[in-house]
Amino acid sequence: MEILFKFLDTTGFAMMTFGNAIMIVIGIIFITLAITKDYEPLLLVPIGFGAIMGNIPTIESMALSVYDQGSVLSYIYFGISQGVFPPLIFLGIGAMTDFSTMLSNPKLILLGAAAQMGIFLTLIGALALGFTPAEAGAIGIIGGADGPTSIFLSAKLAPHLLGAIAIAAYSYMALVPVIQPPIMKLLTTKEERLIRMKPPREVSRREKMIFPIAAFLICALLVPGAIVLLGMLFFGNLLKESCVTERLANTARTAFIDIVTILLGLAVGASTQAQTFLQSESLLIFGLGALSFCIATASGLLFAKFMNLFLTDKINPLIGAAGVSAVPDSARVVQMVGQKEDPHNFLLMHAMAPNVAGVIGSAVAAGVLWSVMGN
Amino acid sequence: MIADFTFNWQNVIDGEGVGISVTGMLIVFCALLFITVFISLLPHVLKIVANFLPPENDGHHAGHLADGIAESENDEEILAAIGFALHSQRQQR
Repeated sequence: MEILFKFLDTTGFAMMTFGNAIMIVIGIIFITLAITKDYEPLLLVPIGFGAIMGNIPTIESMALSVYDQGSVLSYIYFGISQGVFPPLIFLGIGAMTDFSTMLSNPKLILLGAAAQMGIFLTLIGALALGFTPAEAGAIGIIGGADGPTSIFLSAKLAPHLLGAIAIAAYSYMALVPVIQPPIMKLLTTKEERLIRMKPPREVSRREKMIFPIAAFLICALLVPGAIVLLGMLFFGNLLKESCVTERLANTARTAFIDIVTILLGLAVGASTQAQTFLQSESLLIFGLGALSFCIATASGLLFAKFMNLFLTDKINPLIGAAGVSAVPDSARVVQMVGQKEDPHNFLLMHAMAPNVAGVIGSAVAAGVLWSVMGN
Repeated sequence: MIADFTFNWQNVIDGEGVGISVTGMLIVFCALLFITVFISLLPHVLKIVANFLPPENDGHHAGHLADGIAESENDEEILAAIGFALHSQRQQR
């Protein structure tokens, strides 16, 4: 009988805290949102289930959680804590991405740069609130709207905030269709939303092949801190565009990225233990993350309007909102908002240019922050 | 707990927040501006050097090879189907 009571004391029911219960409910909400609302299901399902796994109370002597040395989850979490998974995800993204629209209309790349304003203004906000410069840098990168980049940088600069930053980044990426449209309507007039853009020119195969090598050299020589992320992104793209490594490109954009996504999502979720996650800091990170998304969207839009002052062929300022690098969600939102004004205006292909430029821009920004604050 | 965090501009000054942000944005803009300039010039450069480069189709060697294999497999299937159709027709006669 004594053994039975002893065992009962070690069950999850006996050791469950209020915080653990809240996190389990949050995990279930994530899974429900992914299934019922289709919000980033490939990420929210693993993260949600990981949050449930990570919040089952365990006996201290048993190595079970991501933070226990030697546990199975700790080995998976290694890929996050050491920044291994994000570059591998970038390899897959590179093998999926078609840079044609960006190559056909290069001036739209600047919109991807403007949207990174969200990162740096949020950094200032986080500093003002009392976060250390390294923590502020890691929080600011949420504004890049790029989950892997956020995880990579927070693993390097503020590992103790990684769970909150990763959850904030992926949550807001899932909420792009909710966050962006009101800002887009607020900052543009009906006439601007109706602007039709010239169809992009055809891009030669040779341009597509040269681009990943040249762009990598430009970025890596300027910001060596971005070598890993951008190296993998452009390497993946070269596999796709070279036409001689179709098998490798196909693997990178299918099974490979899927495996890494599963491991990354599960480990991020499992790292959100109530004891480390339910802090006032996490709430602030969520608030600052939302702010950075809004600033990023607004900066892209306003910069597009600014560019129109000098351009003869006007650009639809809505595509500026796609400068946040939530690929392809923010480009889809641009298409959706544009078509509400004019159902025959197809902005998706134009919006993909700032969208993929935003991926490059946020990786460069991460490289800058790592170089400045990591040393 | 939240009361621990108060908005204090002095923290931004101490952490060189404005300097980092301005420098960071400048570098991001420079990187993407260089890429923009490169992409804008690339078609013109390729036009100039086109005479010294092999025709673009050469780059698709593996693709064509794969297509070739697929075609030959398809050919066999088509030939088998034609053969079967002819055989069936003759038997009906």
